[in-house]
Amino acid sequence: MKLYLMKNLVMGLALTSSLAVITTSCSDDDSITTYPVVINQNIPSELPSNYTILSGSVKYTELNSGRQLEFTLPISSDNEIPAGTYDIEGQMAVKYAGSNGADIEKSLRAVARQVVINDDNSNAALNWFFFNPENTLVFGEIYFTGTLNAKGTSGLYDTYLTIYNNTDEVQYADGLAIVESKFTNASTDQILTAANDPEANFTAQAIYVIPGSGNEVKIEPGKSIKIVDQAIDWNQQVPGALNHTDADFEWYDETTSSSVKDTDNPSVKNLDKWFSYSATIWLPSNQCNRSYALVRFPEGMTAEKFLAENIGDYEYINAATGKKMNGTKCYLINYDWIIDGVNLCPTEKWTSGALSAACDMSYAAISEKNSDKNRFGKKFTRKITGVSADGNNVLMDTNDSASDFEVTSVK
Amino acid sequence: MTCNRFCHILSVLAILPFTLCFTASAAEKEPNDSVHAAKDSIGNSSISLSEVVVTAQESRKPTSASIIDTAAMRHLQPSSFSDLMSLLPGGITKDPDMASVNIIALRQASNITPADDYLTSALGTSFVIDGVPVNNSSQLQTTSDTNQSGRIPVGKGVDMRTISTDDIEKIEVVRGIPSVEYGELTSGLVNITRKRGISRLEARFKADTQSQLIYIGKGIGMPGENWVLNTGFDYLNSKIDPRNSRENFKRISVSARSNKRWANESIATEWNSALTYRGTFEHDDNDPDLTINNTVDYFSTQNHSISWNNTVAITAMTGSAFRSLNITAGINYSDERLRQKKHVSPSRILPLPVSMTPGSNYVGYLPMLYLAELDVIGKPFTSFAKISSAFRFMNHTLVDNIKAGIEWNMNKNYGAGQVYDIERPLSAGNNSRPRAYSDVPAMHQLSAYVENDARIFAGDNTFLIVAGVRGTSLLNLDSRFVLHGKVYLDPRFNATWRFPKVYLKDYPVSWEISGGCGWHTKMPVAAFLYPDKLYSDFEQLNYYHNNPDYRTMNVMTFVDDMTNYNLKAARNFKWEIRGDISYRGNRISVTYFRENMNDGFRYSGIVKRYTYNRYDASGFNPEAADRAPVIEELPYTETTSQNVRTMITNGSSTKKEGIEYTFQSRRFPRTHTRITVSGAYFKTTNNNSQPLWYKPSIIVDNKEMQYIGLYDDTDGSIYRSFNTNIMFDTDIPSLNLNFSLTVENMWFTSRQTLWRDGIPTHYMAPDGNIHPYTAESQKDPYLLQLIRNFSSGAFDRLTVPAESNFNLKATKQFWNNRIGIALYVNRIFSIHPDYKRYGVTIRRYSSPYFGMELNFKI
Repeated sequence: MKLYLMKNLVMGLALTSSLAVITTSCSDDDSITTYPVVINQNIPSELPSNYTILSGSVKYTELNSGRQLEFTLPISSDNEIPAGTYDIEGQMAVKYAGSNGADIEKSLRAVARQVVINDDNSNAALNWFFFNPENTLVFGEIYFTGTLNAKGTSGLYDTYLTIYNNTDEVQYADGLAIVESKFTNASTDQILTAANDPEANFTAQAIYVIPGSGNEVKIEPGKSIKIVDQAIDWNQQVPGALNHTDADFEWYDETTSSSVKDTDNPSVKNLDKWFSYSATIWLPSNQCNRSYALVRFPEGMTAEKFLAENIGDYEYINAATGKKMNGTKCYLINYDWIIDGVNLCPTEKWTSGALSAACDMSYAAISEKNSDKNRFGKKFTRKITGVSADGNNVLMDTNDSASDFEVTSVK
Repeated sequence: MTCNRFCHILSVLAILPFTLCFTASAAEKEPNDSVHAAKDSIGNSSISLSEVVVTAQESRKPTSASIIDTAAMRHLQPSSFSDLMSLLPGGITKDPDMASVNIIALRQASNITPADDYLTSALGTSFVIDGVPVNNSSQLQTTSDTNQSGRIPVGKGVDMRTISTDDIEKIEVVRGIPSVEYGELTSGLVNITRKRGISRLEARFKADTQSQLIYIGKGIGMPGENWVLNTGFDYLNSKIDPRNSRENFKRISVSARSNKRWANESIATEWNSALTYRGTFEHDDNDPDLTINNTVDYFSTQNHSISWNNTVAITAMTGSAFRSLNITAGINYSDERLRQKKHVSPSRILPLPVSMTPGSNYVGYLPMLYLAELDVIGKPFTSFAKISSAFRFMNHTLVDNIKAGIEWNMNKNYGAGQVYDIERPLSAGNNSRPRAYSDVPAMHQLSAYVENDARIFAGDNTFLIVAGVRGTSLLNLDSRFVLHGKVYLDPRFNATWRFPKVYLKDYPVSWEISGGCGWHTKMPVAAFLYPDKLYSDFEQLNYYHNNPDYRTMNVMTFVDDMTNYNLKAARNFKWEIRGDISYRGNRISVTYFRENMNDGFRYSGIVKRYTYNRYDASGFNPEAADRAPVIEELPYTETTSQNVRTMITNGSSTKKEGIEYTFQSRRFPRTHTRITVSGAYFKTTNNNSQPLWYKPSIIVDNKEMQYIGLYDDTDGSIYRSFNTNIMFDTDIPSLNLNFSLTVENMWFTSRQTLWRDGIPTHYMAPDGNIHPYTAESQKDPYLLQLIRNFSSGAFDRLTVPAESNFNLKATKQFWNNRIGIALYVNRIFSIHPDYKRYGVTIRRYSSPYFGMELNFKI
């Protein structure tokens, strides 16, 4: 989860275009033109150069046809692929000698999106990252669509999320922040400011913090806490909606700029609101097309200090108009502080993640279509991978939301 | 880009010869005998009376004005007054938009989308029908439903959709400086003269892509001498989308206009009396059978307006100094009803403040589904009276006309206003309250004018000099208003110098230079002077307990009077200079103008401070007390919130500059074709003229940020457009056929946001004190938020390159002009190349719009 200083290493076969004059023209019209597999690989700077690959593969998925090709690492000069636009995912296990001489084994993963292969010079850049399955607090469930309202047109704000203790030890959620991305994962805008590049920092537009001095918000192993928008029994308002009177926290937004818009349940604690772009109430993406992260700020970080030091205003090119614009009302979050992150987006709208590939190499989709009316009443639930030594469910956290989460009905 | 523009011009030029050949060959067989050159009283060569002019003509008066007559309207085949705007220099043909108010935009770049802050130009264009101004100052209709706000005409001037064209004889659109006889305007005058005189029964049936129109009218000779009654009936049914019968706009106009004349050797007396009814009906609803849970969303407006105007004109038939005395009186009463019914389903539990009085109140919550009903009842009444008189003095070098008059009008709305159940508002989170429009005081306006119109003959030179002044004052105003007792004086001056004729190949060349300048004033309307009160509710105790019996919510309600007693009239200063040359029935006229209005109406932010208590119920045990907490028993902290509220101000500046040009050829004898070239280059700058308060909508550390910045930079844009319309119209009298092809070239439009640094000059701290914003302030994490960032690209000039559209129109008469058919196709052919902006390809699309009609004269 670290911001890596990449060093460029052209791995495997040093295939140049001059060497790669292969089947570019064919006498047989039915054959498909293929091109050599060329990958420019960046490995993390922390990985010594004397490592060896224990196992590894790179999977190419052609976006239009869905065709998949898998190549074993290292890539051989015989590996070829047809022209197309590919998503590439890689995984490998490596071994190297540690400073004390003992062997160290690490898992790495890599992902590249929408790589166009259409000539001998086409190549893919893969940024490998350490894939650390060790995790503590993770998003357990995310329910942002809401139950269908009484009119049947939109979702209620009986929305919630849970934070799950994925370990066999007691964890404390005090000071943990729930953060929403500024960028949608359906955006085609081109971000010009380097600091706002999703690989460099996470750009956040809402930051709500669980109050506590360090050991007040206890989460038992295998248990979770529920955080809701309005802690009320929605079922009494609209039949079939959820009862949130048992919530651990609600995010409460006091509005002074216009009419009052929120309720405050005295029996449910409020989150600390560090920052929100909205003058009224924070409504998490009902379309489910933004990214969310759990953030553990460094020791001694206060709201005031954070806001002073991490302003995230940026420049971008609006994809629709081509015009250079300014993005404001956002703050930068260092990836070192993020303990869990998830990209959400309907499948047909996905462009790129607001989180770094190391944080989430894919995304979880509430639906195939954008604004699908059937999304209401559906939530993201993290899959259970197994049972721990203490008998607690272990939730899947491979930083690959597409495989970590499933969409289930909230009822 | 340059290449594109060049190619574009080439393609237009390539098509034009075909057009010419087409029009020429079609007409070639016809003999040449219908075109004559005649001379009018002042010696200009002009077209003969039999000549048909199907475009707007430039007026011969000293100020720039466009004249549109029945021939032009017949050729254009309009559905409403809006369609005629394409005839003005700079105008382009637009498809009818009957789903929103059609406002007028004189001398304005064509790419400006109407924005609330810059509507004074439209509001300040006066429509005068048969000498009586259309007055909607007391119109107050409104709805909180933003989806329908485009249909609300308040503060936008005359809605041109509502004016039918069929009863109109002639329209004079004064783009320049109108006579001081006309007031209540900043930007221009639309002077409409309705048909008068005996005529056959005329009927018109028109259908186009969106609408059907029926008109029946006749000028009836009444018993006795010199008495004519003109009647007209007009019905328009327009669907916004032809596939949807549930959204439409309908208009009915009925008028009866009597003209009676008595004359003897010394005096002629004319009495005109006109009774006019106009109904407009808008409808937009969903089909509950097609919605989930059969929910309803219904909107309609029904406006009935009836007016009765009388004019008595006494004209001297002798050469005495007294020329005429006119007395005009009119009344207009409208019944305007807006009705909405809508199922509202909040997506969250929303507190429901309903207090009509300030103070602390306990409030309930909105239900999760309810049917909201809103009725807005407006009953504006207007009365108008004017007495004017004209005198003439003359000798062999001078003809001097003096006009003077006094005018009074009164506006009052007797409607019940917004009527709805405050506990079931149309929009959840409603922060207004019902108000009866009849509570708004009547507005009286008194004005007087005097004008001298002199024609001086100095050798072969002629000078026309029109100079006048108009004074206007609003009466019946509270003394707190700055406008109370204030008289605005509008001096206006126009002059023409007609040079001696020069002969070229035995034909005279007439040429003249005109110029003018003047002030123009538009008083604020009732909606500006008497705005709704603003209700703000701040939560003092928010206690949504799990047990419904223990729930409570307390708010502090503040009621703000948003009246701006410092509101002034909007004033526009214009000047223009014009050159005009005529030769053998060809005429070219070019006008350069500038307009500057610094005090247009807009809603600007002002800061209001609210102090209330925040009660802490954390120590209260509802189970022990078995009840909800009450504020009196709770500890509290006093809190102050400062908020930016909007109030009407004179904070908008509109600067207009441009060149208008018209060239009209004579009708070429062999081809019977006339070429009219008209167009304009417009540059319009809209920006704020006063510093603006702005509070970033940012919540920091649990609270809304309480710093507010004052920005003395320009929030606005420069718009430019340049167009040339070229019309070839062929009139073949022997075939009773008239057809035209118009090429409308919009060479470019552009928009550029005015530069601003986004750094406030001052800020208001949470304690209400105002401090200068310094470099030191920029280091403060909160004050830093006040800087509004604008990217360098935000101020780029965004240009839309050339686009050309070809419109075809034709009319044909049969059986001694008893039956006519006409058709038009707009954009029968279009050239609008794709263009790139910042590397992004932008495609443009166009589709034809067409209609046809049948005319009868029986």
